[in-house]
Amino acid sequence: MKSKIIMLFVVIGIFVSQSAKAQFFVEYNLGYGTFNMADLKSLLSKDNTVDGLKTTNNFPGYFTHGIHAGFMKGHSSFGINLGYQNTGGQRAVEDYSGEYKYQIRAKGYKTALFYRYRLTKADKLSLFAEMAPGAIFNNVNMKSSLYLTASEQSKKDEANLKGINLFVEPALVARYQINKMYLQLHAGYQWSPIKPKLNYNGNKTTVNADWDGLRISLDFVVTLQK
Amino acid sequence: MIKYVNYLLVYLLLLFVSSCDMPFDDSYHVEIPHQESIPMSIDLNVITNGQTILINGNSDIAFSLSALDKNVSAAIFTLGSKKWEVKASEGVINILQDEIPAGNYTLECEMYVKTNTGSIADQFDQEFYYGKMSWPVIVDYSIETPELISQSITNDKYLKLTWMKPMTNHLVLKGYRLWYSNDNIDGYRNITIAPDQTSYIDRLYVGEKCEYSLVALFEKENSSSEIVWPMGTLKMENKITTYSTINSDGNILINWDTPYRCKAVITKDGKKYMPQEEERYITFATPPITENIWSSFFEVLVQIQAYDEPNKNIFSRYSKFPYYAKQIGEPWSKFTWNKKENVVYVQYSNKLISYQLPDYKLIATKDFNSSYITDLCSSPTNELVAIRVDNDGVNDNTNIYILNGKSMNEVCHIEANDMKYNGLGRQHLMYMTNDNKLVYFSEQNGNMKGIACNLYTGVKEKSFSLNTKYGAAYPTISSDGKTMFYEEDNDPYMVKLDNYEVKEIKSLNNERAGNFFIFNPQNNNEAMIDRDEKIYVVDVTTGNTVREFALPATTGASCCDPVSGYILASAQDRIYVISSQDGAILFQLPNNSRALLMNNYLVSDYGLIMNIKNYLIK
Repeated sequence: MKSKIIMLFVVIGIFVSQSAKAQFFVEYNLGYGTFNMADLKSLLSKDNTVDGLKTTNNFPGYFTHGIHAGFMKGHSSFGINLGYQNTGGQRAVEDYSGEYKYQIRAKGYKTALFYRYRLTKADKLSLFAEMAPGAIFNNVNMKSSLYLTASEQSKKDEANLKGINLFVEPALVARYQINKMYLQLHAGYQWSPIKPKLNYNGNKTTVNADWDGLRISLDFVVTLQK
Repeated sequence: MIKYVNYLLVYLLLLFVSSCDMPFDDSYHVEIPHQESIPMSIDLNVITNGQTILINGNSDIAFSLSALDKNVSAAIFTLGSKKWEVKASEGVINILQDEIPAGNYTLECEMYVKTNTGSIADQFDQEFYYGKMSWPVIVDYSIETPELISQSITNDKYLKLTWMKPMTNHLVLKGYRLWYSNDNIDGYRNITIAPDQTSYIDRLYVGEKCEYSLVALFEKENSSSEIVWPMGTLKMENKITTYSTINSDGNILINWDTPYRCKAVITKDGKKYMPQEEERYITFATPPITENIWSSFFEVLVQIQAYDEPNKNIFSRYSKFPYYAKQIGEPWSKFTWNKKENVVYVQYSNKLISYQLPDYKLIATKDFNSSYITDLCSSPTNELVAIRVDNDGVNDNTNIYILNGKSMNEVCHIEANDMKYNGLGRQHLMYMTNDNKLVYFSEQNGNMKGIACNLYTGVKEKSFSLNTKYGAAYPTISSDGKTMFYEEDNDPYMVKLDNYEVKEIKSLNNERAGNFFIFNPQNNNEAMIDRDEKIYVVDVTTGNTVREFALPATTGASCCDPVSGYILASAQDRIYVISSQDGAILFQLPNNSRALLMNNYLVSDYGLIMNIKNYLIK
């Protein structure tokens, strides 16, 4: 499914660029995102398998990675956006007798179309507005482990939850030209109007992966002149 | 500028490499204070010989485990191949004889105590303190274990119970509880005893049958309840004796005794008597004799009370018996009396019971295989008695058992299947003679035979034939075995014997039926023939009548007293004791049962006996 959507975006882009004689560009976005993850936070907090558990990580904001590829012509740019974002939660405790950990790691694979409009005239420093609708392919891994030192007993449980969120991400982009490359500062907010519950082995669970939150990134842009 | 862009790219690359997946924080170690081990102890409630546990039967071993106020999660006891796993600090393990063969063993106890440190392993019930203890054990089902509670009598005659203080490691003794119970509805007491005591004087015990159970009470950790360990049980058999009887002087004697200090309250016919502490009997004069002597009962209640708590009756015995007679048998009883031992024998059902006179004290009881017992007799010179048992094990099998009169052990027995059928009420078909013979009579084709057997071996030594054609009634032989009488075809005959050989058979030629023969114990030369409400006294040498006297109207002689020779004459509803000299009536009373007179003891086949000596008209 994911590969089919990507292929669709590529075909549309090539078709549009050929017809309009546009400038092709590729961006690498190294960013930082915050994530709501209300359901998963709640799920994590409910684990009281042992007393003394400490929440060491509670789905904090973390680095994001993305690639924009598209065409620029005049004020408009458009193309596809692929991205990867992850965060996690952990409750754990360790003492002389053993260790217990409960970890939830959420990974989101983002695929989107974007449209960017230049708000200023083309100059060394330009400002853009962007809108990117798309889908996030979720992979949530839940893992608990117990290890007892004296008996060297260990026990592990693991489950993988999957699901797809639809989202839109409005953003502002400031671009600064350095020779033939650009550096961009990208700030937006990712919002999913539809957050379906995650599935476990084909069965719906009671939690979703809520990636809503700020997205800030520093982008490195190269263009291919025709 | 390019140089800075390259730096930036390298930095971004490093950032990319390091930032793919968010790392989890590993700062979650906590320090929990804990100990490697803790002191543990176990107390067992067992019988020992000082070092070794002794087991001599099915046993319950109570235990208490302690581990620094911590709960014991599990304890595994092992004895031989048997294991008990318990999950409590206190409990009992049951040792069953079927499961533990006799032998030397080691009892082991492994204790697991939850650490309660709160550590992860503790929370998953995987962390315990461990302790192991063991004790030598002897299992021997043939040994007697020492009494746990011993009893004694104090100088002032109170019961004293004594026990050993239980030896414990961690249990703290709170005291003891002594349970007393007897068979009475309110016969229980609960006595609390201080922990520093190892004895108890029971001032309420007077010798009754009861049971004492002692338990030790220990403090239970973190609880207001107690740990209760059985210390032992002491069963006290009844040591109070009471009996009520007619004394040889004719008075009513009420007797009681106990080794313990007590007070007695005697209630006779509704009136209470309180004898002094040291007194052990009380007598009451027998009221003047009435016509209704067999059914004149007196009632007596003997109550034994604790000396220190009068009005609390601990022991009661109610008796009801005839004023003049004592019940020693049941309806349809037969009696005989042994002169040498002064023992009366009563037979009913398949039992023969002996009582010592004059106190009617039970001596012995003997059971037979058959209740078809038709005759009893006793030796005039020694202690032996004989009993005829028909259908003895097998139909038509008749045995005569010769018994030692005291112990009632069998001396010998005589197979007497040929014995004549005894169908007449007054008739006896066996006699003991003073030369240690038992003579019984058989009849074949009308011919009556006497068979003389050795009393000690049962060997049939002699037999003599009377040459009767139609059988004989009331064959009666003298105690010296030299004279006998019988009746045939309405004629009485006198037989002279010598060493159980017939020397002479003499017809007394009175041609009158209904002759009943009695030898006079007061005069060996006389026999008495009862016929037609008269007694004919005949000379046993000549057979001639030497005197005669009338019996009361409608009576016939039943027997004569083997000592005094008094004749007991019975009518349908009355009996008379008659002088064998002149026929004077010495005693009479209403009676509708068969009766016998034995050394002034009158017995009735209702099972009653009374001494009429004091009531005889002098």
